[in-house]
Amino acid sequence: MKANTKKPFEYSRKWSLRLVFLTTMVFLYAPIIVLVVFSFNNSRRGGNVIWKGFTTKYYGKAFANEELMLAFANSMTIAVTSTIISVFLGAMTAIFLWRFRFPFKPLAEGLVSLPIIIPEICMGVSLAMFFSSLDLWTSGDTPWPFNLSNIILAHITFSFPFAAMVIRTRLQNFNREMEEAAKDLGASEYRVFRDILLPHMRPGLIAAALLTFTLSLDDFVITFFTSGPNTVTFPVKIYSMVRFSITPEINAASTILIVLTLLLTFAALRYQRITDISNDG
Amino acid sequence: MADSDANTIVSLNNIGKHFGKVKALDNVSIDIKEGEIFALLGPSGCGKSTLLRIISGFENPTEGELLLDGKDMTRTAPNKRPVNMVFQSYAVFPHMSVADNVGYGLKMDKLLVDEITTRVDTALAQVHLDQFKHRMPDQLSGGQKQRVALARALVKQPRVLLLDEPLSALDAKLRDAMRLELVKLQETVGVTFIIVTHDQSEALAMADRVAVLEAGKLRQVDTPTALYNHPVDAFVADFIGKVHTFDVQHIERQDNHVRVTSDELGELTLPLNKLPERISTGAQVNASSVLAFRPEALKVNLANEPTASTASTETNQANEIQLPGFLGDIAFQGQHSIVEITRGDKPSVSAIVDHSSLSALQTQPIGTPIVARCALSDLMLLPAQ
Repeated sequence: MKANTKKPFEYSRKWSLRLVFLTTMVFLYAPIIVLVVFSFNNSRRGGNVIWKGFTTKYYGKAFANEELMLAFANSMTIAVTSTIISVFLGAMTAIFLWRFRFPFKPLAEGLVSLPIIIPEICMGVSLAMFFSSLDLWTSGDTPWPFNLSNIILAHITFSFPFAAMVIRTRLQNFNREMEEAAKDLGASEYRVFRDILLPHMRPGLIAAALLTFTLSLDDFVITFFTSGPNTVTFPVKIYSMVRFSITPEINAASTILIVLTLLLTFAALRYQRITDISNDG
Repeated sequence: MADSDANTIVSLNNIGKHFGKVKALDNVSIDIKEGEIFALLGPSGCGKSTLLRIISGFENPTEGELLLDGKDMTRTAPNKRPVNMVFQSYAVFPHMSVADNVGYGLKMDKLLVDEITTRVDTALAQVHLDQFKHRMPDQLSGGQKQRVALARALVKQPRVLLLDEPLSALDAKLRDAMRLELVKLQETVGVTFIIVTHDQSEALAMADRVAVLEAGKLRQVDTPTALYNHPVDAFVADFIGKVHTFDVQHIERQDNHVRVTSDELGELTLPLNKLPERISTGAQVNASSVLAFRPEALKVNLANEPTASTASTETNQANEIQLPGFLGDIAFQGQHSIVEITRGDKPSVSAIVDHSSLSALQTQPIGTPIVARCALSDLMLLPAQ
């Protein structure tokens, strides 16, 4: 479709528009490119913006940094756990909102998506207060990975609405006659779900999983409010390293995070596009 | 077209369905016989699809009962009924191959893999899709998807096959071919077909019997010929083919005939058998009746005397009515032509004319005075509603 449609306006011909586009791109991506480039800078101080030759030793240093690697392991554990639970909850919520009619449904829909628009700082503070007031904080000597449960709970709270939205969108174009056809052929409610609805939802589930995984992996604000001294995540660790001193090691660690996020986002977009195409046909 | 009660397969008794305040179906009773093609016909919103969904089990009637094969199945779940449905959108499962789609129902019945394979192959051969066994649905055309849906339903060997607007999504040429093929398929498998359609020509061409529904009420159940020649009211007459109607002001039953007075057609004497049961008789004016005839009942001639200015004085001869008017447009239709007869400020009528009568008219300019005549035996006296 996209390839065949004619461009509505020839933006690229106007030099003023080209300039705006170029400035935007520089503004958006120059800092990230600088960060990545200087992760290979052979200089002791990352803040020093003088190029002193190519090296990969800071990647080695980052991987050898035990605290940083523990933070990375924490982040991955949190992301995987909260993704699984978020997608499950999101799918249940999406099916519930799609399938059933009940009083105050618009209100319920609004409440489910509210965490998406609430400022993260508010979510962070309120979650921290919530855990304190109910005495739900994990103590310092809780064994790994159970000491991460506060952060995992917080991540589920803010990411499952995204999962619900993505899956809901997918359900919206489900043909209810499919379900009736399966029942007509003798399928029970459970078989209809397993054989017909779940395969239809699968692309939505995968997209939701990739989205919530990325959200969890690079979250800082909410994590910062819900983490303790022994439960540092990758972004929080980088932040504390920056406060201490900026070294190319931080650039290297950040680059790893950028690459991971980019890969997952690409995978999510690609998957979404494949399913969109197969839906058109 | 069997006649005894013994082989009634679907029995709808006083079915009513209300959606809130809306009455989708009101006291509908139909008996459908084993082995027939039965059509549920009506304009959109008449309740025909709701009726089909009640038979399939996707809706529960508010009132009345449904017997399938003599057993009460009014509230039986759809997956427990000996009926299968071909959906309007075909609802072919997109993530399963053609063979898996067709075999799905048998898998649900927990049949052995070997038996499923054999029966799937037979069903696919019946709908001429044996070559497409391993295709995925997105590699099929609309007509092929419909065949998959047909095979998928028939492979379950249902007692009744329900088809919801089976031809509406096909293009005109394919529709005619599929219409014939469905009838042939029904003859081969012998399963009772219940077809929902809004297209009267489809219902007349395919069905052994047709039920005409309007606004949730059953108007008439009959064979296509009976529906066409003996409609019970003006709605059925108008829905099944074209009809011209004239308001009736007065009906009086006499010894062996009926006297009908119409402002336009004058006073007519009709045989008693023209009087339908539903029209109340007596000396009272019954304004809710109409006189009607079909376009093919009209014979068109050039007016012999040039009395065009007195077009309003329709004479009433012994056994025919005459409608004077003027020649309008002639639409050539191949075997016959449709001639429009304009009648001043009165609604114009159309007549279906064959080649022999056409040649005399074709040479005349538009506006030539003509007379259209209809035999009294071709007149129908019908309740307006």
